[in-house]
Amino acid sequence: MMSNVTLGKYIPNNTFFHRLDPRCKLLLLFIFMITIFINIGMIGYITLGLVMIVCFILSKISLFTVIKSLKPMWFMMVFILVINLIVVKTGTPWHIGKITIYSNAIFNTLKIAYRLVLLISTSTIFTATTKPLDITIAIEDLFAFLKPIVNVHILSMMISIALRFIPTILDETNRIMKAQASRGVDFVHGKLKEKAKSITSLIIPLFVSAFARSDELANAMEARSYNPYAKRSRYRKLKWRIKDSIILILSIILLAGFITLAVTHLANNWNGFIFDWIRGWFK
Amino acid sequence: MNIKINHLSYTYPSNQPFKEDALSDINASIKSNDFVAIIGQTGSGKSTLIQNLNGLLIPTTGQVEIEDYIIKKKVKLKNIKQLRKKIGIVFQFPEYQLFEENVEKDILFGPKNFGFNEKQLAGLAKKVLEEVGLDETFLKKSPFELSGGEKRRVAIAGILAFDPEVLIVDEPTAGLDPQTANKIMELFYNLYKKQHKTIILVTHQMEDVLKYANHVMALKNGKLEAYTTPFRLFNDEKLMSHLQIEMPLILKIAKETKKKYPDLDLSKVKDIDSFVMQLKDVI
Repeated sequence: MMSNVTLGKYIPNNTFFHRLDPRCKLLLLFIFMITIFINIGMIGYITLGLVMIVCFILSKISLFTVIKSLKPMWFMMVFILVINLIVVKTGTPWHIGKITIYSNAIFNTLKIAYRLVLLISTSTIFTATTKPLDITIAIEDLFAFLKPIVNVHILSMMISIALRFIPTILDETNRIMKAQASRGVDFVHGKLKEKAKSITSLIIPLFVSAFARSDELANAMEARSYNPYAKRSRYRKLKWRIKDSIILILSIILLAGFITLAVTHLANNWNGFIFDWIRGWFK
Repeated sequence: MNIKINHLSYTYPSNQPFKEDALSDINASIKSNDFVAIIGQTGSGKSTLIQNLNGLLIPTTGQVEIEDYIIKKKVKLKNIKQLRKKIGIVFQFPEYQLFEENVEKDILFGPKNFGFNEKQLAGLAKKVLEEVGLDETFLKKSPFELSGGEKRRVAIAGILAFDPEVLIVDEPTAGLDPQTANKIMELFYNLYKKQHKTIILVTHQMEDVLKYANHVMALKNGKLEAYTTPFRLFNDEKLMSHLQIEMPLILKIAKETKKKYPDLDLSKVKDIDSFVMQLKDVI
């Protein structure tokens, strides 16, 4: 069950996206996320969807992977739908039996779902085509301007260690679950109280071993004279190429276009909240 | 409890297009009150095999028969808990499964899960703790303040507590000092001799195989290469070099000695003591 996690997994390949500079990809991720949260209207969303499909084709990620990474979204979607059905009372009322449903509740939910799909797709493309180590280097580089305030290197080191430990801890979880199952723990069935107990029997050993591991790692790093405050050279160097610049400029143009579209579409006010917020900025 | 393994193959679920069997077409049967050693190099499928024996993993093809239980794909196992009560597994590094606030509670965790009543639980922790060679002062200690060897013994006590008929132990002596390792091996041998339990021991220690086991299963790349007695295995040089194992030192010495004393019965040489005994007979 643990091996099914696809969200955030790097898929080794050699596509156009894999070869892009990780810094460029990180910036693209930011740009796309901003774009997704701007109310860009129907045309804008369709354009954005098309761009995303092109990105998927370029990165050669199988449709199956995408669908799998969207799986955790279902619960959230149902939750949002229920809330919307209760709260939203605008639009055309539809009568189904004794219940009245308003069209805007459905449309709002669909809109949020679409945005979430776009959001997860962007991050899937990013993480599937960028090695975790490259991500941290990119973060370190891009946030270098913060150096006088925070130690960016420590932050990026923490992120890379955390990423490095995800598969290890998943393995560990699997192992402990099996050991406890052999002692009669049922992780699937049982009453709430029994379930709470079975989760404790997993969480505590997991924490204990995670702490022990980090202690060992800290000692191993110190044994090799690691000093986070020292000036460090880098083994892996990133190379910014012309195609990175071109892609970045194209994306910025796209973002600018969408912002213009959003501002000119003021009248087409079909989702108030974020839009009003952005409009507030331009006043 | 006779265990029958019929054409068992196991493949770990993965997204990779190229899959390799962790186990392929294993056929074997283990009789009640037998002491079986499972040997093989790292990655040969030893741990996968034992997990197939109590329903932690379900064979991809083939089946495992244990009394009325049939572990097979697409056939739902009824009462899997009772099966796991009968077949106890002590995993590698079992000390990582401890989680309760004191040793007594941790030992009784398994029995409680398997539905032992108050009467059965009374004095149980003390009894099994004595079996593994720890006194009752340990009962109220936190499992996290014990030494590595003590933790291991407490974890083993936690499995013994629910009195499984078959005890499967995965490298119980890994990382322990020779003295503690010896004590733990003696403990399993006593369970086999005095309480007539079936012991399945996964090990890399050929000395232990020679000394304790009645039968030995040799795995290589997921295939069962041999299922024979330790004596036959260690006399088959072709098989040994194929499996890349070494003859136990004491047997080597005995073989050299046999050149001078041809009456020496090698089949009775199990360890230093039995070797000396045999030697006394022939000199």
